Amino acid sequence: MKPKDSVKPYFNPYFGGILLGGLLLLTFFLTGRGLGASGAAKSTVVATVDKVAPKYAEENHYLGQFLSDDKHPMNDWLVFEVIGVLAGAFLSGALAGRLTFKVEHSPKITSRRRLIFAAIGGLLFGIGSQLGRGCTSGAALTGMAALSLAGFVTMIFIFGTGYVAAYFFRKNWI
Amino acid sequence: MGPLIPQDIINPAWSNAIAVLIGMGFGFILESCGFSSSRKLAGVFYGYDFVVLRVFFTAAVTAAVGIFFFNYMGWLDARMLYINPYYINGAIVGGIVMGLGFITGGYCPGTSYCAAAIGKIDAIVFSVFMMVGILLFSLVYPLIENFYNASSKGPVLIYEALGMSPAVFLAIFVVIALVAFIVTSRIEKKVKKVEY
Amino acid sequence: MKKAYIFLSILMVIIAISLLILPRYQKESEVLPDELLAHIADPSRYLTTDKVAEMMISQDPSLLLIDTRDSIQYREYHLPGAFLVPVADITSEKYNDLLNQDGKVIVFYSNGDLAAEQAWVLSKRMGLNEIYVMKDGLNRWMETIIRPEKPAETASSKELDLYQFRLGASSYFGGGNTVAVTTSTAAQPVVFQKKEKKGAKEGGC
Repeated sequence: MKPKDSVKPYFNPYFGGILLGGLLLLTFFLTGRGLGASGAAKSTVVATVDKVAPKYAEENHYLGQFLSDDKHPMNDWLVFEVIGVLAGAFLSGALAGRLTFKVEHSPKITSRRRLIFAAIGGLLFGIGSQLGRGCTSGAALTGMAALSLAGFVTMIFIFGTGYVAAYFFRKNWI
Repeated sequence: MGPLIPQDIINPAWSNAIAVLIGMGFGFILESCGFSSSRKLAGVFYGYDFVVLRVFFTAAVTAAVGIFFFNYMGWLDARMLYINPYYINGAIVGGIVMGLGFITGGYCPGTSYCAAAIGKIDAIVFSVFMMVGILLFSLVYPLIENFYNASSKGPVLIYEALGMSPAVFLAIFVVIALVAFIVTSRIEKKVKKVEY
Repeated sequence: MKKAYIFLSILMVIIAISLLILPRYQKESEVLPDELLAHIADPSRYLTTDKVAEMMISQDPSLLLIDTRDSIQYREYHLPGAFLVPVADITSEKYNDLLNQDGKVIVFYSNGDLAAEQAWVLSKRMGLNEIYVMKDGLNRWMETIIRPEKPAETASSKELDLYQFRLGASSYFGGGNTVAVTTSTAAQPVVFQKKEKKGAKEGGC
């Protein structure tokens, strides 16, 4: 295990924000679209269900929409982007000495509790991201950069709800 | 000039390769800013760490002003950019559900990928269950199909909806961001520090 | 650290102010006046009636003939395969798909030059590039293709060849001695490929 002091500090957030904004601008300039994240998860689900139970995948009203004869569901821009995300994050973590298997949780709760809530959170986000046709990266971040109304509204409701619900979950965090 | 691929200035076959490279940049920046830590992320809701707001707002402002500037200079045709369509029901209810997901799980999809990539087990669990959630959604989809597809207003731009010119909106946006940065810095100083 | 933040804050204020005082910019949906002038001065936009006849006879698939007059004149006589787009309506939405097809060479014609030229200028401003005017329009068409003038005995071989071509074209287009060619009252051909809306925008999530 690496000793504590070899872990590099995080970037200054404003600097990181400018970098991210620049990257987003570059993405728009090159491809005409912005970033995204939940779309790749959706593609994975579509592809998996298609592999395991192809008949059902077609019949399912929602998943069926994303199946097409000439393109494999995983052959999607977002999937490739997420592959890059995983690689980039890994690289950053490796360079900074932050690679480590652990369950991150507040010392006031147990690992198990944290994992249970992570699962619940994931479930909710899975449902929410489909309802909202995007997540914080796709709808909110990219949406705001493109000045789309949907982006701002989605963002306001995500963070607004978070603040309102924060009180009830404070034990998990602080 | 831009956007390049939609106008075939760059061959669309490069699109996926570009996606990987851009994704790498995205993941690298997110992780380097600390978005791979659920406790840092949740800090925005409790006031002990506003990194989410800082990075997010700065990025949005930078990109939005950048797009405007590029469009003004003729380097980019902003009319060709993808604007995500506004579905009232989905945006509101989806936003609420995602907000709950954020405060319980401590991640959003993008950040969970980053955290999973560096080994955070809670992020891996989050990502896996997110896919389960998507599957669940598809199962109940027939029930909510109408709700989901209703109230579509198309790709509405926020300054149109507010009845102002893009430049004015951006100016206000920048000012709001600046105020937010100052206010949150003050708040952070007052709130009890959290050891990660 | 502190200094950098102050600098950044000032920068943001400057950006906000410059956004507010920025002069409203023209939506660049049209060709700039200078460019337009240059294009107008360029004679390469003219196609001779012979050239157009050649394209029609060889059934050039990229040819898109546009009749810029009104429907009455069109019904009386129009070049075979020509579509009617009255110049007064050329910028309207309904002709958008017709004019914006990929890979088509548009040739405007009218009785003389006037309407066709107007159509050309308007189309140029809309950003279309492969557009031409049939020089001197249908009047010339009658003179050269339908009832070609026999050149003098002393004409060059080139002129004689051209006359031969015109004779052939004349019979192809049903010319000869008749002035009023039996018009096809059939509605203009409806088949045109709906242009793949450039930029079926990809994005989302």
